[in-house]
Amino acid sequence: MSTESSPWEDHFSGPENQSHAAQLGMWIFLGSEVLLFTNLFVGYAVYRYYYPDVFAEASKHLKTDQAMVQTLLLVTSSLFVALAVHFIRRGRQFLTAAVLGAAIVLGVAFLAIKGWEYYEHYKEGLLPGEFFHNEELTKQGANLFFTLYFLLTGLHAIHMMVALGLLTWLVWGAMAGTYTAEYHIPVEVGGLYWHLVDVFWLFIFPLLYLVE
Amino acid sequence: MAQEKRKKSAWEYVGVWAVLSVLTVTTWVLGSKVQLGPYSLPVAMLISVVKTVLVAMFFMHLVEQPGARRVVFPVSVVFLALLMGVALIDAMTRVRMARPDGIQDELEPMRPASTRTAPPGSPTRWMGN
Amino acid sequence: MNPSAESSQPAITYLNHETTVKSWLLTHDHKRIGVMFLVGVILSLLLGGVFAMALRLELLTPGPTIMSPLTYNRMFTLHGVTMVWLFMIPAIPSAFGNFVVPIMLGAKDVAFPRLNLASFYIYLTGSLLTVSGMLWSGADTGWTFYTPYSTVSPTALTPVLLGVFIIGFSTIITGVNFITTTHTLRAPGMHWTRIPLFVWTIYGTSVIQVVATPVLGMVLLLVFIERVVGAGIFDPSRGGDPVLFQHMFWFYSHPAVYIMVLPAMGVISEVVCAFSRKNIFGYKMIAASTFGIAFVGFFSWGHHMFVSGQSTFTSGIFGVLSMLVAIFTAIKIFNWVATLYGGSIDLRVPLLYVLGFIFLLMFGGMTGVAVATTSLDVHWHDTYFVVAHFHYIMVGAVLMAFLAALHYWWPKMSGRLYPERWSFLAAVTIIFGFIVTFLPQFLLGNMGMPRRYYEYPQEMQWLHVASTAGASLLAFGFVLIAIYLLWSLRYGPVSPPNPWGSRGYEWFSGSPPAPHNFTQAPRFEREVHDYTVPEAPRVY
Repeated sequence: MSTESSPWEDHFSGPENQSHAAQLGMWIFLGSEVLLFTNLFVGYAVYRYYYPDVFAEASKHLKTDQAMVQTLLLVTSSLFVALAVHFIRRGRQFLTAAVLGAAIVLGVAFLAIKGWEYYEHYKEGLLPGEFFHNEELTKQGANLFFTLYFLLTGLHAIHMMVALGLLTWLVWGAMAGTYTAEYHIPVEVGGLYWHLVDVFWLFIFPLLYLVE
Repeated sequence: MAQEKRKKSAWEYVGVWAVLSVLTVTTWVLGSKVQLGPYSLPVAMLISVVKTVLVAMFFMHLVEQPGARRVVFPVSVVFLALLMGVALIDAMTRVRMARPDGIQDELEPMRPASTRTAPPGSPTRWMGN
Repeated sequence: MNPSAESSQPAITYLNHETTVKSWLLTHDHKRIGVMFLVGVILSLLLGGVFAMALRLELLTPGPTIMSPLTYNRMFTLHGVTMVWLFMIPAIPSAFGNFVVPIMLGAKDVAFPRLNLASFYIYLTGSLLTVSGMLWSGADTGWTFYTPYSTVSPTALTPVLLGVFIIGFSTIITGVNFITTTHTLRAPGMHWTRIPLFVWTIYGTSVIQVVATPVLGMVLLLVFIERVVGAGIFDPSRGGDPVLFQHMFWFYSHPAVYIMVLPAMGVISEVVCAFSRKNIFGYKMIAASTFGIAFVGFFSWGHHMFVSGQSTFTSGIFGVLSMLVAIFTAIKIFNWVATLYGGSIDLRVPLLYVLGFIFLLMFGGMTGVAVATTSLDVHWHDTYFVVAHFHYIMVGAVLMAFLAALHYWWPKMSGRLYPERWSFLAAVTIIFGFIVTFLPQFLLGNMGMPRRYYEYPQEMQWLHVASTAGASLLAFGFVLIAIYLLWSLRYGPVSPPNPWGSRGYEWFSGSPPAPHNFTQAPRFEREVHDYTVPEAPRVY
């Protein structure tokens, strides 16, 4: 919530109050993000209940090992973002920008692996709904698995891109010296968003890749 | 904001990260190498929840924050569980014909269960009706 | 409060401190955003009302009257979509909530003014997209967009779905804003137990909005994806489960009823105090029952699905849980009546609407318990009985409260008074017209008239004619309101700061309020609506 002149807004009673409001607002938004993913998780649960074996079979066509690497990438990037908050609280602007940059690199690597995976699925014909044309799998159920797979990972990837944009903006702000030990609400709040995106993946990974 | 009760060291975060990484590898080994059968889903979910709690508490600093902010996240999870729980209960208790995978069964001529072809992969079907 | 009660209006108000168009369109002022929302929802009400009148005219005769069957299907869909998403959902929270809540809390603005403005433009974008879909080739699924038909409908459903999806974000942002504002921006002296009941209901509503709206957004997006790429999630021929759509849809859309009705109850709680000159009876119980409704409202969505293939077990649970809502609603009704009892009643127009509200809500609520009974619902499901039931809640209750709020806060927003006699006439016309419109529909439903049907047997005609006649009365009432309110904007007498002698916190500011609500920092030293002190509240 920064402005051109002073980042502190006068309808709050003070910096403490503004920071409290920003963080609370972000948490509520994150809560609503959880509910945004809810439908897909619910759809996953119900169809996995209907087609347990097809799901297990379909899951074997995913790149589990690469997904494990992706998980590690995200967890590490989360560490860097947490460190960014840690550093900016002490006013270390350059270090903040550096760790945020590292997090961005890891995030981009994550998306690169994701893109490669999508391409592999495309080659195998493992596409959602009516585009599904793989001979090895029972069509009914498997097409739903891949629909949910693409929706879950796709929605997650979209959130990643938004979050990456956010981090880039934060790097720019940290380099420009906008954030200080006193005022760094955007770093804290943007960090929360990144961690949430990470948390979603922590669930998507076992649910999609480790079905048996 | 950063009303830190005590000076935290950056190494604390690295420690949390190490635990998270170990858990990630564990869940991968359990899921793709060891194969726990019916326990795989609960175990994998448990590990994910533990990881989420770690991320939320330390990376997202919930540990040091006042009440209102702590409540929000669990509340949203409760509502997720509500929708998922009810949708599943409904799916489990429905008459067979109202299930998307049950239409063929219902159209099949009625015959003793012993002679019926098993529905797709029934031995591992652990929650059918 | 000191005796300098009759302090004069602030000379500079939010209306006259800047008057350019740009200062309105780019404002961060919650009051102006509230007014813009008000204009938006009233235009939507007009649009939805025109569709409703077209429907009633079509149903005047048993056969074709003025439109083709397909047009009729589009009309009821557009009526539903417009009324629910463009009007009802944002009506009280986004318009009046935006205007009044920060003032009631003694804040200068909401917590995130820029997001608030964004919320308005998101609403505008979504509305325009929805309306464009209507102009394109309409939508004919009904406002519920049930699959699998909605995935194959040949009409322009896609923009309508996207529009509603976008409006959802406006709702979420507004909800985030109100929750944060209530938590962080209360003025000194505003303890949790002093928060006006209207704010409590807006708070409860915001929680529902934040929790439920994303689910709706996502499920509509799924239908959209299904239409565009054939994802198959809700398509039984590809192994999907259409009933799952209904679960997800009603997970939002049932609580959405409480998004509409809770703020309405908040308005009633305010107005009832102001015009019976008495503090509310049972403040804590009303506040608690607000959250009771919000909570139980999340456990009752399945009562929309009793005959749609949901399991009997689930239906039973949902039937019982749905009835719990009646308990919390009854608590509120008893408390309002107890507030009126022994009060020094000043029967002005807002109070008239409140009385209408209480009367009609009882009808709506009781029939709600009836249709929540699984066995009875099998008979009434998808008939006019259900149509009449939810119109009693949505029009009978919510619209009455909207009009009560409009009249109660009109001097606060515009600084003008409206003509008392004309408004009285309009109120009586509307309440009477409403009953004439929807009471016959209960009878029709019980006779077996299905909802959304284009034709009907000859012997049902007299009830349909009665219903259409009532609808015309309703329309007349609304036109009357539109005329005198527009008239009062220019020619109405200038309002004193507190024309009703209300002790509600929002009247501590001027009418219309100063640009930052208060010219000096307000202090809240008494309970809200404390009428034990003789003088009106001081204007800060």
